[in-house]
Amino acid sequence: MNNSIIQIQNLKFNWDKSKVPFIIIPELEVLKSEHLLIKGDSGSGKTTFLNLISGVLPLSSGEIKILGENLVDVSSSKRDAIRANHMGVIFQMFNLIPYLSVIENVLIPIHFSEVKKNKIRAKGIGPKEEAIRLLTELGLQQKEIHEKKVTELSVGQQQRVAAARALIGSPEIILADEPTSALDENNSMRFLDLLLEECKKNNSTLLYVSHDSRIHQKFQQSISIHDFTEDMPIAEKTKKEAVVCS
Amino acid sequence: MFIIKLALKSLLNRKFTVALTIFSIAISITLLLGVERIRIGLENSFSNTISGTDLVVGARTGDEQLLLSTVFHIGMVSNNISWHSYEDIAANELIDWTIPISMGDSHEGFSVIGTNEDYFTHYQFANKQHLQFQEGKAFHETFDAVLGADVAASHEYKIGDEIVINHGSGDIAFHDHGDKPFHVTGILQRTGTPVDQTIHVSLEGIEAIHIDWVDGMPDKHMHFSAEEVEHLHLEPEYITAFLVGLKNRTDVLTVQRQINTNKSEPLTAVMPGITLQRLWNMMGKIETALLIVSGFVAIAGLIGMLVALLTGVNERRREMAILRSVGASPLKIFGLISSESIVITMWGIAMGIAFVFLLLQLAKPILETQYGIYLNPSGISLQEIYIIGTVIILGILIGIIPGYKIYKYSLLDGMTVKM
Repeated sequence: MNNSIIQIQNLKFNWDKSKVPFIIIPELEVLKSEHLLIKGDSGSGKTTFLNLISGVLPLSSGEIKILGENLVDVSSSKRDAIRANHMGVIFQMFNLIPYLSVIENVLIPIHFSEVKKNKIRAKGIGPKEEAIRLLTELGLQQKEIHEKKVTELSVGQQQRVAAARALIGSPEIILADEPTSALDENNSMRFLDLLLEECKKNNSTLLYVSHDSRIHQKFQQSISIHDFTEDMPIAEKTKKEAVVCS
Repeated sequence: MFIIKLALKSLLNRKFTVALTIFSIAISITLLLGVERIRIGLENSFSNTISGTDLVVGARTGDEQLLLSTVFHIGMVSNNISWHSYEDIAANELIDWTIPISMGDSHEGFSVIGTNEDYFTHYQFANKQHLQFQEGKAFHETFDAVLGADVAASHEYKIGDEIVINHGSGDIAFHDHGDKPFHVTGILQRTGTPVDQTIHVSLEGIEAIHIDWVDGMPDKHMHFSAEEVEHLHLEPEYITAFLVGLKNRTDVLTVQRQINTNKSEPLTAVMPGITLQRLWNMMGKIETALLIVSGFVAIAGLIGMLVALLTGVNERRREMAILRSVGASPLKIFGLISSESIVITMWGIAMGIAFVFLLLQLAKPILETQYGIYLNPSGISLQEIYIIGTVIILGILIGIIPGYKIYKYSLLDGMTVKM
């Protein structure tokens, strides 16, 4: 139980209170350092699920515990703080601020979290050195790239910058929302390998949302978002949860 | 601190659209304050036309018509006052001084008035300022003339120059008094009043050029040369009006009543201050129209600003989603966007104020010489502070709209933009 990073109990979420729930999760537990693939087609609710985990969307009912803290019981500002201090997020694309340099983009989370800043200081280095270290590990070692505007980078390079931004400050949870959808197959696999490796080094839990079935074998665990959405009978959902929590 | 840095970088990144937005706000503010300055300038110029005069007296007519013709040289009164009545009233022991005025002639579109030397002693304008000579002196001889500043400037007249007076007013004259030219003996300093557009001659001069005229035409049977006329008795039979200064201002109603009930000749005496105010109130519609125009200008400017700010909102939803993902609260995002909008508004207002002062400095000489409008180029009036304050408040309220929109989006979008 101490190893548990995310715990979900009887989660229900619907966009409109009068309608049937869009997502139902009777039980789900994600452990520390676990790499979980959440499969699902476009529009199936994967992103909504990540927004629930990150505390951006409020639950309709049930509970989500992040590092033991129940998101239902805390204020929205506390949920923002949990996200800032313990999570890193990678989106599909367009996920960098265009008028900031590569380094500035990587350092954004540091400005919102003292916890992340302190974790870097504990390593005996400054945030900028940590950003450079992460970029280098993700294959962006050339110094001139670091000061470039992100719009001057290729899509593949941009996604690595986004990964560095998610990883900076060693957050316990990395949420990745189809980060490879804009990349070709080679680049996708390379990016995914780098991300998994970095998560392993940091002992970060990775929740990776994708519709790409080819990456299935790279993950220790996988669930399908269809298991949790409204068109699935409850009995079926409960069966699937055993697979997830194994 | 980071949020401020981010806002500044974002503004710099959109410098062209931001500059255009600031510029459009600045133009609105410039127009708004500029119109206000001109309105105040007009009112001041109007009420400064005459001061220190207690009564303006003319033949029986409307108050406004008398003042317009006597002081502003607009229109004509239909009747004259006999010299005899004038002398009777001038002898009233409550009266300190009088300035007789005889009108009806012109030179190159400028009014010519016949008066006496008391005009230069007692006529006052603005804040009880007396007329000053920039060059030369008052008239002493029959054919001497003293020019207002604009008359001298428009034709580059100098002391000693000869001018010919036309019969009647207006730019086109059918008959002139070319046989009896006048000589410039003095040029007055600028006053910003109709005095600047006036040629002043003696009553004797006016009498001299009309002595051989009958029914507005030169008499076919009688002609006196300029030299001959000097030897004639040139006391006028009639004058158009006269200005009165009282020994004690509290007697004004008494004297006014005495003149208005004058038995020998129907006369009208008006108090210039009251009539000027009434005239300005009659022109109040112009003032209201100017205020409405400037109000619309400001509204157009603020709507333009809102459009520019809202256009930027959609472009920035992704940026806000990123900030949400790293822990920025919707309120922080609201603050970021609102403060950006407010900064833009403030810049626009500051630039607008700078434009107004710059334009006033540039336009001041033109407005003064061409239109006789004297603007106060420095200092901000209370009215202007109200205007600026209102625009700032509206600007802040408008700045909040995109902030609120982004706030709603960020609640809806979460960390991913659905577009």
